[in-house]
Amino acid sequence: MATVTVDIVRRSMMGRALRVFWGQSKTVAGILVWIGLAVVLAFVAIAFLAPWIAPYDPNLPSGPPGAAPSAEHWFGTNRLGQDVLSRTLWGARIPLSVVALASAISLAIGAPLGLVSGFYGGYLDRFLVLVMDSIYAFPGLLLAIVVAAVIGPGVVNVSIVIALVYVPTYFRVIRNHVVAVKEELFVEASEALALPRTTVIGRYVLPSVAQNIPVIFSVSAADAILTQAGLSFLGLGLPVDIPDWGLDVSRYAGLLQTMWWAVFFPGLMIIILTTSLAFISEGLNDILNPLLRRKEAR
Amino acid sequence: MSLLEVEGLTVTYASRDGPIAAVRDLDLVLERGQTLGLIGESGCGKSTLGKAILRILPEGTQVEGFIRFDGKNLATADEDTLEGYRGRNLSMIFQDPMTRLDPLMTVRKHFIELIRAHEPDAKGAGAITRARRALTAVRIPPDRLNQYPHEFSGGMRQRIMIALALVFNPSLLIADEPTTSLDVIVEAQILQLLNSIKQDFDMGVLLITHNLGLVSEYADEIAVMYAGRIAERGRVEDVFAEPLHPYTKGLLESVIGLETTALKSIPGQPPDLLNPPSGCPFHPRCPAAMDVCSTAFPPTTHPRVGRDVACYLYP
Amino acid sequence: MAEPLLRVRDLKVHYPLFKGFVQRLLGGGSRYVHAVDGVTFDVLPGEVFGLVGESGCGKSTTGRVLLGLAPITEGEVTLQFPEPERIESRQVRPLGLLLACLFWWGSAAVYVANGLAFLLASRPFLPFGFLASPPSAWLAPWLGLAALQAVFGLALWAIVPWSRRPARWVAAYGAVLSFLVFPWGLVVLVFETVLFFYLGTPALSALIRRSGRLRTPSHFALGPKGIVEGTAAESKATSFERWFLGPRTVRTTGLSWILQELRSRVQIIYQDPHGALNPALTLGEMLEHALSAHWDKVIAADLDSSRKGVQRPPREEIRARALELFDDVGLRPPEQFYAKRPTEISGGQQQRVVIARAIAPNPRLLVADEPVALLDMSIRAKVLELMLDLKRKYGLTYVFITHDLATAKLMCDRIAIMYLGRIVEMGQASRIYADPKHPYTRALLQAIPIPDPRLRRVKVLPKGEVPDAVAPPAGCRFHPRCPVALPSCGWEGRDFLSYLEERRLDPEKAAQEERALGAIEAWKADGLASRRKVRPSEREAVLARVREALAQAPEPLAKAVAEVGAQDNVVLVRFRPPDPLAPKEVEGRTVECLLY
Repeated sequence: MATVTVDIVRRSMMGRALRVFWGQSKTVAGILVWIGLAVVLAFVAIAFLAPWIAPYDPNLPSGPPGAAPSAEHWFGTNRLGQDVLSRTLWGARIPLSVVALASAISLAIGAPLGLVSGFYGGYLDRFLVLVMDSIYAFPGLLLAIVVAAVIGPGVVNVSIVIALVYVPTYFRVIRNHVVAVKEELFVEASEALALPRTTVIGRYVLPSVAQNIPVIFSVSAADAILTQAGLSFLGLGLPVDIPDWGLDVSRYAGLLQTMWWAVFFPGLMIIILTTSLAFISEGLNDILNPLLRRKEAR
Repeated sequence: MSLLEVEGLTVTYASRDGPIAAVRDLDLVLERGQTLGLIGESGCGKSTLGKAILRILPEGTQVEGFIRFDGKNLATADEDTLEGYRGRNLSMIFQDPMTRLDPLMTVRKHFIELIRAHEPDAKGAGAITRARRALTAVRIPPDRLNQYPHEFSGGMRQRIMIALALVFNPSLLIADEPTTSLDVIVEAQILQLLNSIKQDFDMGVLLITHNLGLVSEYADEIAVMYAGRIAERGRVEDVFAEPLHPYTKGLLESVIGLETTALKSIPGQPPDLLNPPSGCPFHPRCPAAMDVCSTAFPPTTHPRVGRDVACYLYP
Repeated sequence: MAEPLLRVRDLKVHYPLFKGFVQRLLGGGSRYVHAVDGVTFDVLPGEVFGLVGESGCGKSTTGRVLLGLAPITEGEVTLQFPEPERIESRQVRPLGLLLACLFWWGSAAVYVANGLAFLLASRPFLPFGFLASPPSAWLAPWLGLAALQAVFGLALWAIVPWSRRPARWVAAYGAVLSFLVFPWGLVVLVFETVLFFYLGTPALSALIRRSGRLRTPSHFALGPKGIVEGTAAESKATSFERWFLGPRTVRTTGLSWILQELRSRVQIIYQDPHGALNPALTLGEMLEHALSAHWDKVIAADLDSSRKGVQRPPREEIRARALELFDDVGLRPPEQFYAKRPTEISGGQQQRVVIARAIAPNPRLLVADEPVALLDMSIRAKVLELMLDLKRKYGLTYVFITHDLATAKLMCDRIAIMYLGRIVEMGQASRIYADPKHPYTRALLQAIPIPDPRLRRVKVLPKGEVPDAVAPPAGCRFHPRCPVALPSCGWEGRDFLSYLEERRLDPEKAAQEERALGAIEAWKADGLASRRKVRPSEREAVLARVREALAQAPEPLAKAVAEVGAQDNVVLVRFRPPDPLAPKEVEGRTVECLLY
């Protein structure tokens, strides 16, 4: 039984993909991915463990307002006396969950639509491409603001808003790749064999196309962090009592001169998270593309 | 002195799974006015050999040995010297002309770019004249200079490539599967053209192909490659009349020609160049294999006049 | 004489060239690639029929038409398989199908609508808080959505009665989507899955399926409107699918059952074995797909009736048959190859897998499209031998497409030589090779390189190359290149221009020519005539030069000129119309050439 499982893991695409990444760990691209992944995982751990590792409650005043970083408050306190370190730790939760949810939703909407649209073509495709291109034409933050204003606040809503911004990206990349893969001989061969449509789309077209997904994911995730921070900065989307980096940056941006620690640390976290996600996407791109090319070249 | 002398050439690729010796300890000689047909199947290293002579291999590929051309050793020459040779004294034409011609440049621009690369001070008018002459030599109406590659048919594109290769009257032309993607009538036209050009320009031609019929019709000498080494070499008439190496024999028997009545093939698979068989690489498939064949690569001997064979059957 | 398995009558396949927007505004007729332009032949059961020609002659397109992979512009292809009508035990009841679609498609709609509903209702995100909400909050919307389910399912059934497999995917996807937004989705998902897919399906299957006779067609007629044989409902669905899903009809249309039936009897072996295999699957999986898609044909061949009416083929049986197929094509040991991927095996082995996959559905007719062109010489013989062995073992008929006359001579019983969309010579292979009649056939045979230096000879090759299929030459398409053309073969304006071009190949004469007759661009070809605008003053001079040039022209061209004249400011060269061309019986084969 155990050997069967190992064999399945070894033989499955996931298994092979993981082994490839392991093999790539010495290259520059591989190192980037590992660094990025490590940081992101660290953030996830922080967000999860925040209730236990944060020294103070982030919402309650725990020290003198406006205190500079000291031994009791490593990152100082803000104007309301809240510990900046605790806020920074707790503040990871919102961006991470929003981005995770938003990415999942936009993947769930954009990818299948792209798949179907690219495969079937015709008027359906033309219509969807028109719609998606229209959405894509809007600058992300602007679109997010408009939709957020309409839908209203709330974490789920913010996620949906951000998801909407990235759906066209998933759609376009997947659809264009599907259109290209559709012309491959083995896809025509599956047609000639009268295989069921679901098999053709799922086992013949999707595997080649799916390799794009991790890359799009990390690119859009990096951008989504910024968009979410931007939304919070503008006061749209989240209730004020939940710690959030974007929120803190907005509130204390004006106090950069006098209370720099209240702005600096949340802002720094945003930058680090975004950069790590960008590392992952760049690295993945470098790794996956040569693989794609190699497969096709042989 | 021969036009081209290759001695002990070894070309090693760096691949993801380890080093691959595509060409191993290879010797070859080519004379002026002669067409040498280099025959081999996929993976035998013949394309690598052609590219190695011009040193247009991917980065990280190691080249050892001697490639004597025009008194220099191309295997160790620096990039500047090589660039001076490429396209001028030594030209190469490839299999798929469409991917080798820039679809965004007119034929005219191709010629001008080539000429200016070697003669930066060349005047436009002179270059055009040379271009027109080259096109006429390959029987393409010179007025079509201003057209784009996609406006020509496959055979004509290959002829344009040949014209580009001939602009500087090279002494050696390497043709790497020049007609594999073309139809049989066009193939014959192109090879006839190559033959007449070879005579007019007194060139040496290295014809790399997997098609035994082509070598039989259009080459003077034949060299059979297997797993990166030369198995047999000699004049075409001699080798076809009396193939010595078992691989050559097997190849000749498996070729399907108009006179073939039975289907014969060579058993087994082509060798894995990552882990080649010990000794003679053909021994796992050889009907005449002996114990000694797996020990070391057989030395090249000359059992007949003008013939080279690397096989223990001819010590 | 046995009944032909395949009858092709006057087949034409013309692909439209899409014009740019501006070109369409400016008008003018559409241009077409005349890939196949009037081809007629029969294939007898058990023979190897060769379609031979160079690239662009239409042989590959013809092969693909036989599987319904290329659209037919005109003409008809009929396939007659000598099989008794088989008894099937599955037939779908319309009412049952309606109910099934209601539930299956409807549940899909529920999940998607769930997501939308919560977009509008905007609940706060509480990962574990669903227990806090009272049931009344979600019951009402859910009931409402159930009603939507019924309506949506009904509408979809009326439009597109697809199989239930896509519905399952859509449903699952909708469930995931709604779960992300609506934690309740998990509950609904479990409930509906259990109800519909596990408890409901057996019940519905009983409703839907009943034993009865289903006529499996043994006769197919393919024409411009699709596959003519089939029920009326089939044709309706196909037209709607065509409209809704776009112009690439034959390839992307939902697979009607008639296409499935056709493709279980006619299969194709591709030229590029590496490209034809899916790199993401193992070899065994590929065969399994092919087998399960046509399982009823596979087991029907084995007339042990205890396995009739199988719904879902059992995995073990499929695997066993797949292993048998690996063994049949010489991939031994079969278990080892089962788990390999296409990149792990050699070209010859890949082609064997392609062949195994092609014979998996138990076809009667195999189209082999250049099956060995990309393989090494020492391996070709093995694969060809395999194909002949399989032919004997399974009683197959081959349509063997190749450009290599030598291979065709070895493999084929009868051959048809194709040139630019037409058949120029057709008959018993032995007769044609012994005494080729058509000049193109002769040229092909001459051009083939012979691997024997003693047989080297000077070749007389036709000049030029295969012309563009968009505007094929008039009359006999080979005439511009034919070494023995006659004046009646179809000379036209374009040929005159080519002749002028040829005269200028000599650089010394080129300048002279240009002065005398003008730049080539000045001349326009228009059907049988060729004109040039001139100033009235030069008219006579140009006319004289033209007559001079024609006097030096090759005989057939010169003799075909009907008129050389000048009117106002135009100099004209007109050719006489070609004699009509039709295939003729000559010494036991058909030839299409005016020489006979």
